[in-house]
Amino acid sequence: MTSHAARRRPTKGGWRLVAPALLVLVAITLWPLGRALYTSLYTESLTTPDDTTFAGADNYVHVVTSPTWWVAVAFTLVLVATVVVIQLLLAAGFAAALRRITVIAPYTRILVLVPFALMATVVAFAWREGITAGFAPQWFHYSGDGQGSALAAIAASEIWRGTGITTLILLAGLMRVPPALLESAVADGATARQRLTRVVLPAAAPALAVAVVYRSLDAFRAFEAPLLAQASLTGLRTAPLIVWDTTFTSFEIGLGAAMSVVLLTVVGFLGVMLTLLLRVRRVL
Amino acid sequence: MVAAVPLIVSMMIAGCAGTGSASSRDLRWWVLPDGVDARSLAETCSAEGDYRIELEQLPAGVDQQRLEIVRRLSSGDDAIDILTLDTSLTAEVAAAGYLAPIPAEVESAVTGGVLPKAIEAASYDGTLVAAPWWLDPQLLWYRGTSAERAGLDTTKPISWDDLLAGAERLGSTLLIDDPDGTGLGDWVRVLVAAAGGTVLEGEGRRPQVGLATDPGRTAAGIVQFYASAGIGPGPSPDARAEFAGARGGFLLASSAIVSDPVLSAVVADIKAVAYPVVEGESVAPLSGVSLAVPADARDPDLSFEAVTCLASAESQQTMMSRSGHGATRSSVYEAEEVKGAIASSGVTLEALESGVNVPSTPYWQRVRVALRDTWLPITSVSPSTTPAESQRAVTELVSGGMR
Repeated sequence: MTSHAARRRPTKGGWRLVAPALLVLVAITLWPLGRALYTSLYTESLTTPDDTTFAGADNYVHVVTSPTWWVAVAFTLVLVATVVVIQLLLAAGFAAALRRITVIAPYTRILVLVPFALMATVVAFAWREGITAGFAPQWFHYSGDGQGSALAAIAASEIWRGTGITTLILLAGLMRVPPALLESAVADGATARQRLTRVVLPAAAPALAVAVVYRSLDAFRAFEAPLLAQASLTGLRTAPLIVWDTTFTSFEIGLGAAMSVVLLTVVGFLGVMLTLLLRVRRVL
Repeated sequence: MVAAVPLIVSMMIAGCAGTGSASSRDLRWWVLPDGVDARSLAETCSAEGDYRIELEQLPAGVDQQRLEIVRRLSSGDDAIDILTLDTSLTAEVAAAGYLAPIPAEVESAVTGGVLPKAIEAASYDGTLVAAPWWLDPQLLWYRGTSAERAGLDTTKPISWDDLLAGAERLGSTLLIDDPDGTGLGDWVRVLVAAAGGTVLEGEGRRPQVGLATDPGRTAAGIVQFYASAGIGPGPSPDARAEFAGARGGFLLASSAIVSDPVLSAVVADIKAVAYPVVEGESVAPLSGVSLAVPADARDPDLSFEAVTCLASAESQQTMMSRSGHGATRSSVYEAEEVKGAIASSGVTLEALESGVNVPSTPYWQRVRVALRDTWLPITSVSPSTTPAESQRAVTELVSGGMR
C-alpha cells in the first residue's frame, strides 16, 4: 500500500520539469481557441475591415438555426459512420491475418501504414480519378458522372487511408488475448463463436474502442476528398467544408470562427459519447 | 570554425534579401489569360523606362483570381508589383486596403481623355484606385444572314422579345459568352438595369437590393423565355465554340472575340450590333480590367511608372488593335489602325457610354454567388418565385450570412 502510494505521488521537482512543456501546450491550444472565440463575436470580413461590427451571439444563433448547417453535420456523420464501420471490418480481417505472420511481421506492420503516410490530397485525387473516371467505371460499366460515384470516391479514399492504422490498433488488441486462455477455451470445447465473444472480444475491446473513437474523429475532419468532390455534389457539403467555404472563400471570418467553435463542440460531444459508450481505457 | 559563422550568417541574410535572381529594377506584372499580348507591351515599356517587367499568370476565372489576390495580399506578400485587376473585384480589393494610393501626377496621366465609365470602374468610394486599362461592353453578334432571316432589323435597337422569338423560329441559337464565370451575374444585373432597376445600391452590409421588384420580374421573365425557347444553355464558357459551329446564330459577347482563334473560321462573316434592349436605350454590361499597384509592392513608384506607360494611349492602341478589347481612352477609337483591325469599334464605343458597370460594392462577389444559387439552372427561373428568392439570398449573403 505504501509503496503503491509512493509510486503515484509525483516528486516536488517533477512539476517544475513539466511546467515549461505544459505552458507551451496550453499556449498553443488556448491562444488560437481564444482568438476564434473572440473573432466569433464579431461580424467581420477579411476584405471589408471597416464594416466590422460587434455581433454578440448572433453568429452562433445564425449557425445553430441554419438548416444548411445541420444538413452538413448530418451528412458528415453518415459519412463518418460508413467509413468507420467499413474500416473496422476490413482492419479486423487484416489484423487477424497479420497476427499469424511471424517472420516478416515488422515489415508487414510498416507496410499497412504506407497509405497513412501518403499525402491526403494525393490519395483523394487518386481515388476520385479512379472511381469517377478511371478503372472503376471501366471494370463495372457505369458512368462516373453522378453523385453516387462522387460519394463513393470520398468514402474510398478515407477508407483506404485509414484502414492501415486501424489494423495496427486492432492488432495490438489481438496481441493482448492470452494464448493460454484461447488454448484452454479450445480444450473446454468452446465453439468459434464462443471463443470470439467470450475470449477475444473482452480482451481486445479497449483497442476496438480506441480505434472507433480515433477513426471517427479523424474521419470527421476529412477535408481533401470532400473538397475535390464539391463540384459534382450539388448542395452536399461536409461541415468542415462549410467552415472552409465561409472563412476562405467568402472571407467571413467572424461567422467562420463561430462555425468552427460549434463544430468543435459537436466533435467534442461525439468524442465524449463514443468514449462513454465504449468505455475506453488505456491500452496502447 | 568560429570565424565561418559570420560568413554563413551574412550569406543567409543575403539569401533572404534577394528573392531569387530578381533585381530591384524588376517588376512582376500579374496578368490574365485575356488574349492581350502583355509580353510585347511590357517590352515596349521596358525599353523606354529603366525597369524590366516579368509576367506572372492569374487564373482565368474571377472567383479564382479573387482567392489568389486576397490570399496573397492579405498576408502581405510582396510578389505582385503590378496587378491586372478585374473591374468586378476593384471595390473589394480597394476596401480591404490592399492597394497603394495613386500619386496625383499618375492619376492625371492615366485619367486624361479616359471614358467616364472606365474611370468609374476603376474607382472606389469616389477615389481612383487603379489605372483604367480595357473595358468591354457585351455586343450582340450574329453570323451571316441570321439576323435578316430571323426578321430582325439591325438598323434599329433589337428587343429581347424579338430576338428570342426570332432565334427560336429560325431554329438557331443565342449563346452567352462567359469566359471568366461572371456571365450570369452580368446578365441578371444588366436585364434588371435595362428594365429600369438596379440589382444593388449602397456599399455597406445593408444595401438596397432591387430584385424583388418589377424590373427584377421583367428580368426573370426574359430568362424564363430564353430557357423555354431552348435556344442555348445560358452563360457558358463554350459559347464561342458553339457560335462557330453548325447551329451558331447569335452570340452575346465583347468585341475581344474577334482575336480568339476558336472563331477564326467564321470571323469574316460575323457582325455586331448593340446589346438587346428591354425598353428604351440599349444597356450593355461592362466588364474589364484596370492596372493596380498593391500597397505591399516592393517599389510602388517604379510600379506606377510602368503602369503609366502601359496605360498610355499608344500602349492601349496596340492592345486594342491586336486583342479586340475595348480601350479606355476615347482617342484610341479614332486611330485608323484600330478602326481597320476592329470593325466593331464604333459599336463598342457607343455601348461604353450607355453601359452599366458592376455596382461599386465590396460585396459584389457575394451577390454573384447568391445569384448563381438562385438563377441556376435557368430552366427553373420563374418571375413569380426567382426574384423574391434571390432577393432573400442576396440580402442574406451580403449581410454576412451563411451560404
